[in-house]
Amino acid sequence: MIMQLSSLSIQDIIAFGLKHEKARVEAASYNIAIANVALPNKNAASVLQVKTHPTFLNDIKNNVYLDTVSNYQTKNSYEPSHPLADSSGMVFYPEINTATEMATLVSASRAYDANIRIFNSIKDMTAKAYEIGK
Amino acid sequence: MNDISSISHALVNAMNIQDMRIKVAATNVTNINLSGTKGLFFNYKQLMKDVSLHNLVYNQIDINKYQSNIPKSSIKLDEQTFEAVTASGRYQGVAEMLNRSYGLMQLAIQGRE
Repeated sequence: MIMQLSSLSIQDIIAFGLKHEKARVEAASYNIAIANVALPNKNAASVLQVKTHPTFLNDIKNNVYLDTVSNYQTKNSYEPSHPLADSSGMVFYPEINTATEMATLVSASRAYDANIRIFNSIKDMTAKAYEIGK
Repeated sequence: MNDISSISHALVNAMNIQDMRIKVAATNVTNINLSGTKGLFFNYKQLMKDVSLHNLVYNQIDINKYQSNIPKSSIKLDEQTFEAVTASGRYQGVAEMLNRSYGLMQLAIQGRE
C-alpha cells in the first residue's frame, strides 16, 4: 500500500507530531521516575507506553494516548526491612531499561524541536503570503 | 511566457510547489517516530521541469504522480528540517517577487515613472 500525503493542513500534521513527541517524552520520563519505585504487588502495571493509530493522517480524531504495558517484566531484590517486602523478604521493581528510556527521551526531544522549527517556517511563509499585494 | 500575467502564473506555481515540499517534510518529521508508517519522497524538481516545459497549471496536475514511498531509514531529521527551511525561504522569496511584480503593475496603472 502506497502511503500518500493526507488532506490535513500542515499545521494539523505538525500539531499531531508535537502531541506525539510530547507523549513519548512524558512516558519515558515517567518510566524513568518509577524505575526504582517498589511495586505493591508483583505486577508492574504502571509502566507506560505511547499508543498511536498509524492511520492518523486520514483521521485526526485518532489521538495519541498513553497506556500501561501489560505483563511488564519485574526485577527483585532482597530487602527484608522494606515495608513492601513479601514473606521471603523480596521486593519487586519494574524492569525498566533506563538507557532505552533515555534514548527515547532524547529522540523525542529532537523530533519535537524539528516540528517546532517547521512550524516557525510555515508561520514565516504565511506572514509573507499576507504581504502580497501590499 | 512574455507577459506579466504569465509571470504571476509561474510565481504562483512555484509557491504551490514549495508549499507541497514543506508539507512532505512536515509529514516525514511527524512520522519519524511513528511505527507502521513509511517515508515520503516528493520529486519537486521533476514537477518544476514538467510545469515549465508544458506550461501546466498547478491545480490541474496529478501531484500523486510525483510522490513515492521510501524506506523510513533513509529519512533523516536534519535533512527534513533543512528541506522545510529551504522551501520556506524559497516560498518567501517567490512571494516577494510576486509582490514586486504587483508593485510594477500598480505603477503601470497609475502611470508613474
